[in-house]
Amino acid sequence: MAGHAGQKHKIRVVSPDIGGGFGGKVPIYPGYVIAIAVSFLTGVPIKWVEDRSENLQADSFARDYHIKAEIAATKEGKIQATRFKVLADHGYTDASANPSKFPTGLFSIGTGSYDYDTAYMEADAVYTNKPPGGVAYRCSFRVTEAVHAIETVVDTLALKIGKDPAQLRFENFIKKDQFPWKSPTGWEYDSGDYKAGLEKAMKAIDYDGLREEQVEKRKKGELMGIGISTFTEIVGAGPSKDFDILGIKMFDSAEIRVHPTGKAIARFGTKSQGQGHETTYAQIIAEELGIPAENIQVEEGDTDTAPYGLGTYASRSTPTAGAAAAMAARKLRDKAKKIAAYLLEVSEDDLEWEPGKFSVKGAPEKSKTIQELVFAAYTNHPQGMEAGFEATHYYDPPNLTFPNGAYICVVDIDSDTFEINVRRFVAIDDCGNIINPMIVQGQVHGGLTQGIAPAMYEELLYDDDGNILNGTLMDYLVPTAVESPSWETGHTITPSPHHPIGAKGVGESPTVGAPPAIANAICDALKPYGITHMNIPITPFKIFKTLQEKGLLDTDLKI
Amino acid sequence: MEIKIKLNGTEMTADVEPRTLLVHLIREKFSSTGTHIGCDTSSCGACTILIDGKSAKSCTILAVQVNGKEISTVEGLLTAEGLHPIQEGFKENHALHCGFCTPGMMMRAVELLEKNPNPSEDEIRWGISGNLCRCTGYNNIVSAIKYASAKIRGAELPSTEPKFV
Amino acid sequence: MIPSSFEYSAPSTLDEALKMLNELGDEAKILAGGHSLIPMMKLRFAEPEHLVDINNIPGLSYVKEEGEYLIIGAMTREVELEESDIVAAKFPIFLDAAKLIADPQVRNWGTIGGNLAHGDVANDHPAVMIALDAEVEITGQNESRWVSINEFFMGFYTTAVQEGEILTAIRIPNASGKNGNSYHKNERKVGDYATAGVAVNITLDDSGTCTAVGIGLTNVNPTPLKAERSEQALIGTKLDDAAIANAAQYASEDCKPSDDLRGSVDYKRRIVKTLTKRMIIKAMERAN
Ligand SMILES: Cc1cc2nc3c(=O)[nH]c(=O)nc-3n(C[C@H](O)[C@H](O)[C@H](O)COP(=O)(O)OP(=O)(O)OC[C@H]3O[C@@H](n4cnc5c(N)ncnc54)[C@H](O)[C@@H]3O)c2cc1C
Ligand code: FES
Ligand code: FES
Repeated sequence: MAGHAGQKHKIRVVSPDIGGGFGGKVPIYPGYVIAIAVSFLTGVPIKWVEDRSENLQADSFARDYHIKAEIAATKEGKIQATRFKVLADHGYTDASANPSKFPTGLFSIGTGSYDYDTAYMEADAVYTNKPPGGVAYRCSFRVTEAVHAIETVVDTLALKIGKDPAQLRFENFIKKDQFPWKSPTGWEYDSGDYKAGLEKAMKAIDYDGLREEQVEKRKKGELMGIGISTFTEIVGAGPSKDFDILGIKMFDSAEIRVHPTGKAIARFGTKSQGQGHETTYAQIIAEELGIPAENIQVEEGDTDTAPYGLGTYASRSTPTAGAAAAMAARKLRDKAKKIAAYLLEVSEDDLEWEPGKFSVKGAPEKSKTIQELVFAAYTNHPQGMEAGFEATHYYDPPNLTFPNGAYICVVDIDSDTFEINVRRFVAIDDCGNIINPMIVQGQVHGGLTQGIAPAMYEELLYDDDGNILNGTLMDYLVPTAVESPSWETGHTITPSPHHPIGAKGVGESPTVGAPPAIANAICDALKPYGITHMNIPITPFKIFKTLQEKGLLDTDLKI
Repeated sequence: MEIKIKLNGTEMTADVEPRTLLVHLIREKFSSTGTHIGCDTSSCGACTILIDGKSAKSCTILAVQVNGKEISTVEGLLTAEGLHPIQEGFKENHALHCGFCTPGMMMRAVELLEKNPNPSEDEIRWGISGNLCRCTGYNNIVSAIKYASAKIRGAELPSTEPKFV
Repeated sequence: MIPSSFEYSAPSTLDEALKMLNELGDEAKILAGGHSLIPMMKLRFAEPEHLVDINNIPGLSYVKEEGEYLIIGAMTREVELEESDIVAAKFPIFLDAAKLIADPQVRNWGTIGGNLAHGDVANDHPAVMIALDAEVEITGQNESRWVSINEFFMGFYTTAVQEGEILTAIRIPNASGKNGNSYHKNERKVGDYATAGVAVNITLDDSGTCTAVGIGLTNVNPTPLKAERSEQALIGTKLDDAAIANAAQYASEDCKPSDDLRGSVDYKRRIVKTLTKRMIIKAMERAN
């Protein structure tokens, strides 16, 4: 709209609390444009409300990747190569705000957590008469699809050669001391300790005990499965040399102003939709500047006041805007140091920082608190120094961050009705340094429920004429608190070496990592039937159909 | 049709068409937009309110049906004494992310605890099965309701520290 | 989603309501809990010109034992059944069903009468009532009559309730002897309508021989189905494995499910077979 009108400076977008996003809010929908146009034409405010049925029928969708995954390995199970071929349904137009240089997003991360050097990936995108497709639904640009392919094909390999899937993974992991690690498709993984993560998950869930229980259950004909996923995510897009969206580089930004009172306002180019930016960013600044987090007001979502930014999606806010916050705060700390040297009449080199104050080395009683220094920036700053206490930083990440995790899940399947019960699910995530454990855990819980959803429940179905078959929440099955198990989460911490505070993104790890863990568990349960792979969502009815097609069900139901 | 209701303790009147849904009366006529609309098939629970203390999906009830009744919405939870225990539970346990489901969840939880002051985890999960949340994965909502339960009963408050394996 | 326009009345006596219904004829629809009707009106699958709200009529909501019957008022809400002591003691089948009907908010409003009168084969109470051999009281302006549940469901959303009539009560005969009943439905997720559901009510004599049995099936037939061959397979037996297997097999053969999003015909038959077996065993355990 701004582009067409050539009057970007006159357009203000204000985004208050808007409910969750999960990628669905990335595209520009016709309704937005029409509402704006109608408002221009009529001169009155226009509100566009989309109801849920319209939302399910017409909003962008994700994940319609039809993947053929092949894996080559030695007889012992040492992975040699993978080949993925994709047919990608993008609907009538591509809705994704994809980095320009990566038409299939970051799909090429699909070589996973494993040490091998030959990989081939090919994707054909097709337009269909479905709604706009290709959106990154809680997933940094096709990573969910890529991870699903590698994590399920690795399990297929384990099942085929009769090796425990955990053991197979241990034997193939990239080792801790191999980082930074160059992947066969050209990514440089920053850091990781995959072995530690999987060991921790196995211990937490009592993997060996479960395998023993499974042996006993199988003797009785009961279906129980254990599924693992040890995934590598790629988030924090991205370095300006490679990442732009239609020319605009994928930096993000922070602007901090500390008032003479010592209280601060910080503005960002991202926008929280429930990810807790207000808390996390304030904590980052508090940590760097020693101002209490409650004295920092975080503001986002107003184009009149926010610095330029590319927004919140693809788990990029902490890796980019969070880093910008730390960098801007450090600029302020440097300024504070100059003021402290001036006020204390010492050289900057003689000063020591501890959160909240500068003091003179060897004379700790001679010190200035950050609040005093901020006040001085407005009232008594050195000659020649610009007054005020504010800084802006546009952060251009040197690399992406590579969070990872080890997820294990246990399912029990009713051998008559094939109902699937997720008995336990342990998720160990490594997102580097954790700024706020409660928020990180909350993100993981939510992502896990969004992971169980495509694995077992959610799918948009169409008839042969392209009519949607399940266009309401009666039939599009969003999991409730009953389907959602009680998640058990934990972490290992392997800081990102290149991020200012060693953090990585986390919001999408669980949506990326959970579906293959569940699919693998279900296939493991069905191993006695010779099943090594099933496409998600795996429903009781789909299990029935699969077994029926294989001629494996009692025939006394033929009528 | 002229109707009279008590909304969070205040007498209100409105002239409504019979087909006006209660949720529209609350949001549009009474400007209490804490009650949300998340679906059109009575499936999501975002519109949950209390009618004479009983939780209900206000998108599936006609405004004219509640003539003479007492309606409680999320706006009524906060009192002069501060946050309602259920609000405190949600806040302390990080039980909301985007907050879209939260008003409905909390109103549902209020009745749940009214009827069953000390529910088990299973009872809580079934008790909120008519309320969808897209963000939290429900763990912390369960914790929040347990917290509120303890607070209301005057029992020791459960820790709100995140538990890790 | 807003229903199309209609007139609304909320009579305060049954006579007034019946009079109104008779005057309005097919323009009118009864509004009970509204949790089947209003969703349909929002989607414009139903566009009645006049709604007669029967919520303000006193005396239609109760659960009581009278003579040899349990009597349930038509306007009794699901939640009131769930919380009734009589039900908990003798009819755990209602608790089985209630837990799986929609969700707590819907159960606060939905009525037992409405659940039957809606005539929806996907609803759960029809099968439960078939198993319990219930009778339904239908009240018209001039008379009221009791109709067997087996003659109540006439077809797609049609029942024995005629224009100008109101379903006022349901009565369930008390069993003589040791009695047990149970219900389960298979659903895609909590709150979903049944993929298939099976209700069983069993009476045993002191020797453990089955003297009476009712089996009702949900959502696997054009109308709620009484599984008669299955019932016959159990009567007079000691509910041995063979008898149960036969009953389960017959139920799976005699239903006529359709292929839809919930599953194929074969899949649904398999569910019916499994649940029939399980519910017979559960009812039997409860009887003992
Ligand atoms: C999200 C959701 C999920 C649901 N899931 C289930 C489920 O799993 N299982 C299930 O069984 N039900 C389910 N239901 C339906 C619910 O139980 C309804 O409440 C019930 O089917 C109808 O009862 P009611 O009192 O709400 O009837 P209403 O909606 O008021 O009426 C339904 C129909 O019956 C007529 N009617 C009502 N009462 C009488 C009467 N006394 N005499 C004559 N005619 C009358 C009405 O005119 C109307 O045609 C669900 C509903 C919702 C909204
Ligand atoms: S708006 Fe979804 S249940 Fe009312
Ligand atoms: S907090 Fe976002 S839907 Fe529940």
